[in-house]
Amino acid sequence: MIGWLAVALLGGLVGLDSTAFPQAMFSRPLIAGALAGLVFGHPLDGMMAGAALEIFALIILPVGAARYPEAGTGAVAAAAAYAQALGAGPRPALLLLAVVFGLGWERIAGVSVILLRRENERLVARDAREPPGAEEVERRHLGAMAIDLLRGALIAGAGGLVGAFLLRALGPLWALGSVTAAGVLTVAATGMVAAALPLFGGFRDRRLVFVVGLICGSLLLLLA
Amino acid sequence: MAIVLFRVDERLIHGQVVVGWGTVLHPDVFVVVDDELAESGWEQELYCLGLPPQMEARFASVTQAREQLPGWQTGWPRVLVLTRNVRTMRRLLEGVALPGVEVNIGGLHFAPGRRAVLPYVYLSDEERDDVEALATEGVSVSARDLPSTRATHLAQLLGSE
Amino acid sequence: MAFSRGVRGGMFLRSFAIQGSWNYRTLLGAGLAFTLLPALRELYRDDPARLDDAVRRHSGVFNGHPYLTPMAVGALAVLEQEGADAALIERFKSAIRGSLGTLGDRLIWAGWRPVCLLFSIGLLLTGVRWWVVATIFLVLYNTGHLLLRAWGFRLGLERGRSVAEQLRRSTVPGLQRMVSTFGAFLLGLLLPLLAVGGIASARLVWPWVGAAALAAFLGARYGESVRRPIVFALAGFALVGLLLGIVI
Repeated sequence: MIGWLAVALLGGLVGLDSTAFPQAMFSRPLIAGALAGLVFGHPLDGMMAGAALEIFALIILPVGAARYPEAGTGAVAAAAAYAQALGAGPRPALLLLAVVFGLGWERIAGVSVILLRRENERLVARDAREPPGAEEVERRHLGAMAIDLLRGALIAGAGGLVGAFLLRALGPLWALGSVTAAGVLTVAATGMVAAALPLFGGFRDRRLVFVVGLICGSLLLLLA
Repeated sequence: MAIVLFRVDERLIHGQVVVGWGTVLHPDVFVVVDDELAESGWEQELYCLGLPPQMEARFASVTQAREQLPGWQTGWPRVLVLTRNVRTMRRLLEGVALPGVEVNIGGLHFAPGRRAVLPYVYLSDEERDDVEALATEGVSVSARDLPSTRATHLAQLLGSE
Repeated sequence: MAFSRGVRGGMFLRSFAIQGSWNYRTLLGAGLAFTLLPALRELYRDDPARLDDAVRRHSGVFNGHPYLTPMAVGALAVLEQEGADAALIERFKSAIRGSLGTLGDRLIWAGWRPVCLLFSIGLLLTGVRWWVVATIFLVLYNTGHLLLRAWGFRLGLERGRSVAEQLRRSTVPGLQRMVSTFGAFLLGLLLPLLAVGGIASARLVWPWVGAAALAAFLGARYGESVRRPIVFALAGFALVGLLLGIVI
């Protein structure tokens, strides 16, 4: 119980950090996942689940009013569920299921962000012709942040509980073995990381440094 | 024709235009048509900040732009013409628009007196008149924030209200 | 007369919360007013009506990359102090908001942030301990983050409306190019580590590595449009694995 309260608190802070305050990026799945895992004593496993979700989140840019999933609170839910359900099935299979759950839950979290932003519109921009004075603007702005904190806590806490229940129930059913689960996750993650290349100018512009990187990475692998 | 897009967007040169439309249409030059901006150096500097190094921006008043319009239409650099409101676009194209020219509207946000047409297009009554005036010139006016979204034919939308 | 240390510090700290009431109508609007309040309160100390006017002026539509907004905040505080008229302030705001967004999106969201993340994931995959990875990421990333905020804020306070001139001549545009070159290199470096099973803490045999290489090729070729198919394929696989378990 204490554990899930900690997850909810973490989720609230992560939700806040994603957009509202202070954007120090402990809300990135990589970090948020590790912290959520830490709550149940498995920080490294949490970080692995977070890293997998991070790879899916890399190319999502918070640009304009576009709809996008909220990867941070989704990762808190998924990593907490994964860390809490460890042992309920083969580890790679649980990881795969946790990642799939996280990818779904971050969309729900994304919808909650849209609802919050509509609510904020009512709160701080209801009537632009006659907006409130100094104190009132300050109060409402802080109020919006308090609601955001609560939103993140609810989304991550509820997500963690649902996810843990699902992983515990479904983990033992996994029938394709550990290697298949690890393989499928690996193929997906590799494809997603490569898909981030356009962020840095795309293959045509950056093929030289990209290929040099590939060679260095392969050498690193051979040496290790 | 070397004018790749006529766009009305009060944010002028910014991400949606530079990245969103820029990567699809590959313009060489952004021409911003605006009487006030054409004479304000510090504002031009601000607008140019977001421009990638390989792209250029020019600023012209409506009169200058009307003179240069035929040159842009036949010249080799790919030109993307921007105005910050529908009125300026109307002043630019009235009487000189080739039939079938398309004007793209995106990014006219809420302001007192403006009502929502689409989530990213708010228009006042005068602006609605301007859209209709452009339409009667034979200009096809549509709203579309990004190349990846669907265009909404604006004259029809306003007419059906 | 310059602003006092307390006023400057107040604005700087508040700027971290500038997106606190993000909404679809005024975007950062109320957040900008909230961030400017220490300066406005100082300037209009004896005139509550003018204070409320100024707050209203700054509650309108505003946008910009959060890490670069301190620059706009600094410049706007100076404009208010100079007694610039409302129309000029509005023109400044609309001229700077798009540019700060575009610049920050490219420099941070599509540059510094993914670069720091790829680097940290690389560390994790090469066996560095989790808390070391977390610490390195947070310290590295936020050093850049805080420097950018502080530098921009000072520039805004010093230059007022002509911040852009200085910014264009600064190293920021060149920096963006460097960061993104490094990003492409890191991405290449990471792919082999991932393709052999790093993310699942496994050592995979070559058919899987081959499939991963193919996925990497498709990802690099088609960019973000592969995300949806990959997510659905992954979910589909999970479902098949579970259904087989139920049937058998």
